Amino acid sequence: MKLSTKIIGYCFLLAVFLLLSYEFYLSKSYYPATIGEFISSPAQHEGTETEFTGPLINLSETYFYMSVNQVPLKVYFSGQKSPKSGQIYARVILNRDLTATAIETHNMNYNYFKYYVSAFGFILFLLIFFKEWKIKKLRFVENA
Amino acid sequence: MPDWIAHIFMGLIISEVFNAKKKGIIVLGSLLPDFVVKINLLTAFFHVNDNLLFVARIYHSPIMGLIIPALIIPFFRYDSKKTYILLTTGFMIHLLADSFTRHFNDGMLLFPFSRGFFSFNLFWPEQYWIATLGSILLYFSIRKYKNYRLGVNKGVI
Repeated sequence: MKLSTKIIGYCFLLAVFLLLSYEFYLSKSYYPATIGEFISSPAQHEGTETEFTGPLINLSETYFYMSVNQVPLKVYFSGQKSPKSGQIYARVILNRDLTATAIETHNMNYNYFKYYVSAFGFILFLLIFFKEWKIKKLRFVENA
Repeated sequence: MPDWIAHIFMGLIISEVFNAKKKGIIVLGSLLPDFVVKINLLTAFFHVNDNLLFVARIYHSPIMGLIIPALIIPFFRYDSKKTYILLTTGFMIHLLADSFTRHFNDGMLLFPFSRGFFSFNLFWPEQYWIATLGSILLYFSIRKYKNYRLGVNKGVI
């Protein structure tokens, strides 16, 4: 195959990749509100059902505060317990007053350990990959 | 979704089953979908733009599993078709493994024809250890079986 054909093909694929990403971005309104959208216009998203995950900030008998993308959110839910080394998953209905009412919550106990295990996994990946490949002139070539 | 150890071992299982020589490429493919999505972890430290987090979801779809490996091929000085097949296989295995997680809001299996998420809703994210232990056990079982068969064929056993 000619080099020019390869370059045109690669540019075409790159364009498809970027167009699909942009098309997906444009469809954002189709999906439940993100925390940023909810905070900027809570009245618009009143009554919307969505899901949030984040660490617990504090809790009381009838409500708790969780951090969603570093934004504190007050969630009404009775009997919530504190997660151990993990986050809270909450399926909520959004309220006009910048709070939410949880329909269902789940404590993802010890979920943070997954990230430590994954960090070890990344080292394992590097070992497996660079056992077979080495970098030469910005490309991966087979190890002899 | 399972942790990276589980994804790596799932890639290794596929390479053992199909006798792939370049395990490293399958393993790379089996981690590819997470390379972008891991920006979600940054939210633990600071606020990340909502649009960025939203768009990252698209990289967990089979259509991207067909496009992204093709974009990576030129970085390998190796047979293009083999590289593509190995990377795509790893990528798809990753998506399959992730789809067993409950409330997995990244898996859009039919995008761009459907915008819905799909999950078998079997495991919570903190139950990742089931996939990790299962894949490690299966991998070493396959290795042991293959070594046993090799011994039988050579007449050692």
